[in-house]
Amino acid sequence: MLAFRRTISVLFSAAVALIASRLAIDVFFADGIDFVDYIRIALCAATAAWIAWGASLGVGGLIGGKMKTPPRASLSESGLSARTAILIPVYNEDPRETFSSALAMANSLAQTDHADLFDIVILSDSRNESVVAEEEEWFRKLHADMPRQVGAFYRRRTDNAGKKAGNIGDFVRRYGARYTYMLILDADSLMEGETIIEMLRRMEAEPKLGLLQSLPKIIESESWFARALQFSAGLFSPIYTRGLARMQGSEGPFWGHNALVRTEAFAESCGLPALSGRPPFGGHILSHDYVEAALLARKDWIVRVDYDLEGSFEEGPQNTVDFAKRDRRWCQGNLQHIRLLFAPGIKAWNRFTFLQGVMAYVSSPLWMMFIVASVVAPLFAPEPDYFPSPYLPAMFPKAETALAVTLLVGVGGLLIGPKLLIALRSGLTGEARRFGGFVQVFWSTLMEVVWSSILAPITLMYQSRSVMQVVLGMDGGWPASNREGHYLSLEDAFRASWWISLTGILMLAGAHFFAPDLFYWLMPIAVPQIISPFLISVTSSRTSGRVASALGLFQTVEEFSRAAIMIEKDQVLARWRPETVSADISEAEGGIESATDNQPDLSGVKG
Amino acid sequence: MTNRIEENHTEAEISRYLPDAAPLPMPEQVIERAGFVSRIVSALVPPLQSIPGLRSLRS
Repeated sequence: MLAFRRTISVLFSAAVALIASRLAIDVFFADGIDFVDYIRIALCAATAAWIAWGASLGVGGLIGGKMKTPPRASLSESGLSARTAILIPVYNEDPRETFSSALAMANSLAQTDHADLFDIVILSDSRNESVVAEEEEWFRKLHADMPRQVGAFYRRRTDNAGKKAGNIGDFVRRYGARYTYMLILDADSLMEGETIIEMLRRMEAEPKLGLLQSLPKIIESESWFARALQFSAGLFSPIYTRGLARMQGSEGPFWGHNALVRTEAFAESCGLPALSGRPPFGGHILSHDYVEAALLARKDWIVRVDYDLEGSFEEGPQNTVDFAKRDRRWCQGNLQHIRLLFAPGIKAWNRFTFLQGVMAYVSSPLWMMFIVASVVAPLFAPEPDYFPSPYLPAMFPKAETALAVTLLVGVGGLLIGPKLLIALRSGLTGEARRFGGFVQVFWSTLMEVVWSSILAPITLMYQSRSVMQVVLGMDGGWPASNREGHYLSLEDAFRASWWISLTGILMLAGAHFFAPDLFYWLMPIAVPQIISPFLISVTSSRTSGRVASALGLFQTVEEFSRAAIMIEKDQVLARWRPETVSADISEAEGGIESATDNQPDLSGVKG
Repeated sequence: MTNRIEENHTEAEISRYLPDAAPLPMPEQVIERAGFVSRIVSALVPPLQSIPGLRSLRS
């Protein structure tokens, strides 16, 4: 069945590429045949295939019944053999935010019958001295407040070799034998205790299961940009993930966090060496998660995503620029996988997954090249031959506008169709009620489609630049994630996107002089680019988010019914006021000095 | 397991509140094929990277 699904999807993408090519031939050859037309047709086929592949995941997720709940073991029978380390790697993050999530999860676990199976381990790679000092202070607060059943540990490396993957690898090599499982989180992850227990039960029931990935929902979005992303992730992602899960089977994805890993499997399979050569293609593997999933599958461990798991959350970027910065890092990591396409012993599907990751970014410059080629194509077109035969009247080249519209509608349909179908499905299944009702969902979906169409030419430029930078050997480094975000002033937004505005202006000017027929066709791409500083700035503000909310747009399940773990974190944050932390710690532990002064034990916390 | 503060700060790490050591071997995996494709990639990448001024985004 798995092979059948994969074959159907690949054939569907190939068929779409063929149809797009056929239409493109008619449209582009209308004014005569030249080599630029062949380039345009090839680019059209490649981008159409990529879009069709995405659509096949969406449609694959829509078809079929509900997922059968996988086998689950009783943790009472497992005893302490199911000991689990909850790993929270941090890198110059806000410790109050991260550690309050840790405490909320510990409190949530304490409400279950199995809290004694868990330790929370903060793995710090922070370098910023003030952040490090804050981490130590807030950790002592966390330590003092932890429920009795759950342990809390903190480790900071001064050598950041291997970045996040190296940090986790170090933990495994030093302490891994203590834990049967590791729940790998990000600094902004939040998971319900019951969800963690459920994942553990599923792991215990399937001894060959090496990694179980949950689908984290985006929460705590405030701006228009972030709320649109949050809505999209909340409504569309579960269906796309269902399609993905059905396609990937036991060679599933690892997204680097909110996943439970069997320590033994991880240790024997996932020791990542640095790649030969310099960054960006050499050096430490940046997008380590895809590689670790492939290496687990190479040793015949099952890697699975269970999209039915609720209660798994993360935060997302609050504005377009932070989104682009994160994308820059992912782009470099994914392009690095070109080196691993032919890695020994990797399963064919995982190689294909690497290729998909590469295409996710390379498709942007392909689109850009297609647009540029279309603008300059008339310069290379042969002189029209109005009298191909001396016996016939003059013949004028046909514009083939109808075919061009067909091509555009087809591509647009593949992009938009699955989203509309998912919205429709939510109405039919009653899922829409959790989002405020079908009218709200449909209205939000339409606006999300409009907004993502406006945003696409801007992200296309950022992604194209990222790909170019990586190809030219520029290493993006390891910037800390900025999830809290902030309002971007028009000046800041202009500084980050003036070159996109300039590109839009040049594109329209080029069309005006070289390809006037294209001028209006390019408006939906060029206009958002020209006004990108304004769009980026306006959609980064909290006010824009409030406007969306007032219009009933982009509302998610968690806004109507805040998850218990989110409420728990709110309560922790309310208690953990920044100005009181030092005083609280002094009171709880007899002063900071005593806590750092090589004391062997800290009372009240199980170890 | 006892929560404790490590007596010595080793050169490799600054440690607080560590669990007791329990090493688990994690051998490095072979992920690069020393063959034709690697040689092609190795040949292609350095010339691109040698373009001056385009080495790093780090400040």
